[in-house]
Amino acid sequence: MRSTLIVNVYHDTSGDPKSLSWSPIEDPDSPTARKRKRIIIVDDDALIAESLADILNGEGFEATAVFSGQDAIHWAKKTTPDVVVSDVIMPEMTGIEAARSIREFLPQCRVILFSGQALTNDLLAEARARGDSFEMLAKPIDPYALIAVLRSELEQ
Amino acid sequence: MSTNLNLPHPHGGIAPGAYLEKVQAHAHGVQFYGDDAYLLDGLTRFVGGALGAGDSSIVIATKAHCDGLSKRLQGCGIDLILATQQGRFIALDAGETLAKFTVDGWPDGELFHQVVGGLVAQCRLSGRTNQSKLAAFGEMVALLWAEGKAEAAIRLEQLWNELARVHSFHLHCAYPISYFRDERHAELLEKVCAEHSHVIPEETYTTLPGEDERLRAIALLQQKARALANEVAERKKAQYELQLREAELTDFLENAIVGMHWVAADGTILWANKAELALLGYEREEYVGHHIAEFHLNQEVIADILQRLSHHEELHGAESALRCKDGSIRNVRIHSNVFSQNDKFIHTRCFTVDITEQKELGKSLILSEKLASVGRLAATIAHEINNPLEAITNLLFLAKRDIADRSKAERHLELARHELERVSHISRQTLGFCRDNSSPSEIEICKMLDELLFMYRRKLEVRKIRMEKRFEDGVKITGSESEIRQIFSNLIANAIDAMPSGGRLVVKAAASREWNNAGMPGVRVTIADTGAGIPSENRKNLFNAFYTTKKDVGTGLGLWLVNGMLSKNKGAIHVRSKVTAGASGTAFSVFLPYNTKTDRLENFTS
Repeated sequence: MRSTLIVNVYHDTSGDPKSLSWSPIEDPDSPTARKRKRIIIVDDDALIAESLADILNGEGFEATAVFSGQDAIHWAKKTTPDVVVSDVIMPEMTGIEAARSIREFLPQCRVILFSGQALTNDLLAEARARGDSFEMLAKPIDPYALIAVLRSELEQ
Repeated sequence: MSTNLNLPHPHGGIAPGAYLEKVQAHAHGVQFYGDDAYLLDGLTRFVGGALGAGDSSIVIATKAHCDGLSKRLQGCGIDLILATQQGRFIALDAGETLAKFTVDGWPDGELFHQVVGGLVAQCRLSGRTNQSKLAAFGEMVALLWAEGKAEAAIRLEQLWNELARVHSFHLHCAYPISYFRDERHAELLEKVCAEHSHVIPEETYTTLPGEDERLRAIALLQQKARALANEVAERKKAQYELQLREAELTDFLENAIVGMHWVAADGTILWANKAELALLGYEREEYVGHHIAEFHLNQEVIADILQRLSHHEELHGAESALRCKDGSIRNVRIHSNVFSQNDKFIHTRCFTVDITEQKELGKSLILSEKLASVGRLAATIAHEINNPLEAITNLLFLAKRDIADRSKAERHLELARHELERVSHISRQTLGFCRDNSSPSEIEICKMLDELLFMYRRKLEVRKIRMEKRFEDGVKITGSESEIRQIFSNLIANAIDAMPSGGRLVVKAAASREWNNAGMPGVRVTIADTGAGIPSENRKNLFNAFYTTKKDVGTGLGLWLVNGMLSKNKGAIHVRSKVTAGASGTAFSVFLPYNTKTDRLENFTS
């Protein structure tokens, strides 16, 4: 059992920093686990997407890795995920564009974006201005932090 | 006294001596003549007639005229010696006589009356009777006129007229008509004529056979005069306009704000306008007349410029740096061509445009661009490094999680190691610490290319790129293996990047010669893709550092590094590209000499 407390600060589109606490890994057979969250991981780097999906699958989620925004939209239509976790800067379609498209038919879908570039601050500001509610995490992502975020519910 | 005068008498013409009978004892005539002989003939009649009739005569003329007259008179049978003894004939040199009564070049009235008046009085008295007439001829006035002293000549005429009030004599003056050839002389001619009681025009008129002809001549002369007056007026107008034009052009050249100058064939500055002088801060004499090379910073540059101009080449925007008087340097662009006549180099037409500010601006622009590029580079590096780090983080998590399953854990760790290598490679490449200290070795080009293509095979497969190899086996060079490898690796990677959705990659390697470099033998490797091609406007930036069209993936250093390494290895690179849809593509052709570390052309037997 991991007992390290990791406090991570992350930003959602409202701009307020939130702290969260980490909870221990659940027992996969517990009743709550049966209600598995379906997650789509989107990153044009296959290794990152796949390893992340692998991690999350071992943590009681149902994660699928896709490698482009188009693929994410396609898969979302097929499997109606609860969460989309996506890289922002990708060739052909950015994570934000993909997320917005997915929100059109899945308005309740939670979107967590991650990126390692300064450019994303501008994109974030743009999104904020448009009233989009995306959460953002900085790259490189700490898998523990991501797990914690996914387990917590977003405070409205 | 012999009166048998064999005097020549022009047929129908007005004989100059003829008016002697018509006119009173007081007469002052002026003759304008063209031909000396004509003058002398007339004088012969005048003087000869007087002497022959027992009257007196004074002749104040030039030596040539005096001699000519004496000869003619004697030829007519006049005994000059006798006449002179009798005091009836006095012949004097005009110049000498003139000197006797002129003070500072001006005829003095008192002296004149003393000298000339005395002569006249004396001569008259020697005449046979009291009624004897005196025929006087003087050309001192003409001498004065010849010296440019028109006013003095007229004064002298007036003095003669004063004398005529005291003594009676018939005075005859003569001027060569050629003295009055200038338009300005018209007024003076009138003044001269005004001092005389009658005027005899030049012989082209007086020798005309009859009154009728003379009238016709007058009509023609009137027309000519009018026509000439017209022409003069027009010429004056044209000249005025020409002067205006010239003034305009001179003003334009002198006062334009672009520096202009002329340089002679030997490099001497012949002329410079104000702007040119102001640009450099020199005074005219410190610039014009000096050699142009004195003012250029780089002697090779100005020598090249002068050489090209000497071949009558046109220079468009040749850049140079000039030294100003205060020691500062200004960067300029020179536009020049050559003014020549009959293929002879007369002088250059040079324009000097100051681009110092632009160059500064250019420099700061490049600097800010570089800074922006560095910013982009930093972002790119961050991305390039973050991704592998991300993967490594995940893989270590997974390795720990799956520690019980050895083969699974090993696989995670192996992938993590691979990603770590990737990070290291990127770090090395982008931070340029790839210094190869290994000594040059023999490199088999085809083998190296094969290895690289093997390394990239996954990428080729994924992107569905067809590969074509055209290798000439056995081509080798001597050089730094890692540098050469990096060159080809970069080019192959670029080619692959250019074909994201399939295409054809052609790699050729063959022995060749670099024709630009005295036929240096070596190896030529061509890497060609069928990607979108490079538009011509990007071509010039291709090898610049930080230049990339790969948005957020490229560092912009690949080709720059390639170029750098090629020059280290005395190689060369050429690029051909087409952007036409359906036939687009790019081919990079790299030439490497057999021996990459020497400049000399070595003999190779291959």
